[in-house]
Amino acid sequence: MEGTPAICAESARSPILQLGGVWHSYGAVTVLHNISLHVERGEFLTLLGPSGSGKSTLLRIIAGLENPQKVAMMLLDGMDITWAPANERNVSTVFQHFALFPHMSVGENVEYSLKLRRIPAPERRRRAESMLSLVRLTGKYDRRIYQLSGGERQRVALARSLVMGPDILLLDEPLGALDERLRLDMQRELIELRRATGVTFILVTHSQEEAVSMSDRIALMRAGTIEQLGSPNDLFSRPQTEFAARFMGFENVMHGILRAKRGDLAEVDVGGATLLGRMVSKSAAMNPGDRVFAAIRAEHVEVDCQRTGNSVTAVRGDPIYKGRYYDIPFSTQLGTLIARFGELPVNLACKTNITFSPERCVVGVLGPEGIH
Amino acid sequence: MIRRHYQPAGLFTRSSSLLASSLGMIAIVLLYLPIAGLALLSFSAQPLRGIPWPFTFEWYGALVAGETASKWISPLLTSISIGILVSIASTATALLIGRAVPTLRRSTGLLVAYLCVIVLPGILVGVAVLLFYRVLLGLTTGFWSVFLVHFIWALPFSLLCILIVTLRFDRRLLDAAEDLGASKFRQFIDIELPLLMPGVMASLFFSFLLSFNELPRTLYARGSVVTLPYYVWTASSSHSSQVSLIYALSSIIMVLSFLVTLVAMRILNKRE
Repeated sequence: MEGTPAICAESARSPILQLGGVWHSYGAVTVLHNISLHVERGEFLTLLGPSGSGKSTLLRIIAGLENPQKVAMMLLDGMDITWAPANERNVSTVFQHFALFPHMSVGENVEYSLKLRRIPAPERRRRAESMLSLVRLTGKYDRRIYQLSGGERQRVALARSLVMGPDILLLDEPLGALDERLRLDMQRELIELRRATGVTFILVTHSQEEAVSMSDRIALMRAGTIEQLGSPNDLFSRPQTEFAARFMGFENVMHGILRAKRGDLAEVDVGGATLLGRMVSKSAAMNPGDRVFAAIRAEHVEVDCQRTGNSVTAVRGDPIYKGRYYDIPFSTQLGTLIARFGELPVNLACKTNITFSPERCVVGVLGPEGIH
Repeated sequence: MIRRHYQPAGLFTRSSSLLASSLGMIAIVLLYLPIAGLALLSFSAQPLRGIPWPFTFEWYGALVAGETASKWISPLLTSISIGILVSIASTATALLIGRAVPTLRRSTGLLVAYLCVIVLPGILVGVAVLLFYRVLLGLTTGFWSVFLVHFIWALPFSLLCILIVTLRFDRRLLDAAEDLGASKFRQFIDIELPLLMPGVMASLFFSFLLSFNELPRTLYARGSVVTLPYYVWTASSSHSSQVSLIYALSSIIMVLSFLVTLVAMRILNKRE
């Protein structure tokens, strides 16, 4: 080993997974269009997207449970795995419905991959026990699967997948079957588990909140393509497209015409009114006269603040109680804008002025699908 | 096994449930009374008179005595060996078909074709097989032709037993096993087979019993082979000295069948 530090350093830098030109279709429906993706070692990558965006199919293709129709490159740890069947790839999957073997005990489930690799029983048991304690299931070795709660089953599935020491752990909407409180706990546990094991995680989810709070990078998928790839902060505050803005939870999305560019800021005409926003698409790609979208989060829309920025007169609608906050729709020249308040504002006039900062408002070019 | 206690609902009120279980009791009595009578008469010195008195073990003694024993032991062995072969063959075939059915897009027609064999009259199937295979194809009747008609008879029942478990089987478990490194063979042995086992056991058991008790199809396909039901039938319908022995022989077969059923139920229940 001591003779090969250069190679080690090289392999430490190279991505654990390299995908290039992946195409797949079910019958006439193309579900993956030319996907290319590099995943770094030890990274927590999330494939985020609505149902039917191809994210689960991509995960199954990485696992080897499905073969893509066309693929230019598929390297796992530098090795070509294009035609390797699932049982010969050192990746493992945590399925949405856990897929635990009901006729085996917790311990037998966890040990199954080691048994297949002909690891002797005492060693198997030792590794299974240590993995079970890592997922906080110490002492549950002999339990039957039907005796476990949903959260415990989830952790058995994690232990079963991690015990074989996979290069990549694939998680297919693993929190979807859990109730809300458990889901939040498991989010934190997944982050800690990734830290403890150093394994690369690829998570599939349709929840932007889950993606933002757990990932190092997010690949936002839409209709078989990667719409945007970046850090959670990139996606959360700088969505490049209208789809990304809507999916990342921008409540207010307007369409307009770009009037002028002023440095980073764009002057946009929306329904006769002018607003200022920060350009997220490359400045060079945007020209005055282009159809653009402008998006602002509800929590960044404020009432009656004497601040510089975008300001429009608004007619208040009925507040909607959301538990932790209230959403109030306002009819304005820009269309209906939703503003968010922690407390219901007192003495809020029916007709008022709302403002939002140009820094918080993102402006990008509309794709062909956004132009009606 | 987890037992649930259901509250009566819909048509099943408390009183209608009572009525239903009393009717069930009457049916059971009607079924078991003649069988109990037969068992009782097997100890009678003159069973054909229908009076279970005076008691004797004479017929049981005669059954195991050298000369008579040779007459029924050979049919018994024939029936058991055909039963075991049919049981294994029909279960294996049903397993192949039953695993494929959930993956087929249109399986209703296929299933109807398989299961129709159940409602075809046995005599008809026997005659048809005899005519077709022997007259047209020149198949000689004998042990294997009996095996063939029994196999045809047992297969749909085996298929029903197997389908109950294969249709419920969660194929995603095979994805999980493959993902963990299992070859196709290991997926079948480690995951699929253990989970299908209740159906496999039921199929083995029922197809054996179906073959063991079969008479109408055997009549045409048997050639010179004598199965136990055929032997009992001929012996009891002719007014020979054998008739009294049949009571004793039937009682023994009954007790043995009952024990086998008991063991099978034990095994099936434990699997759940």
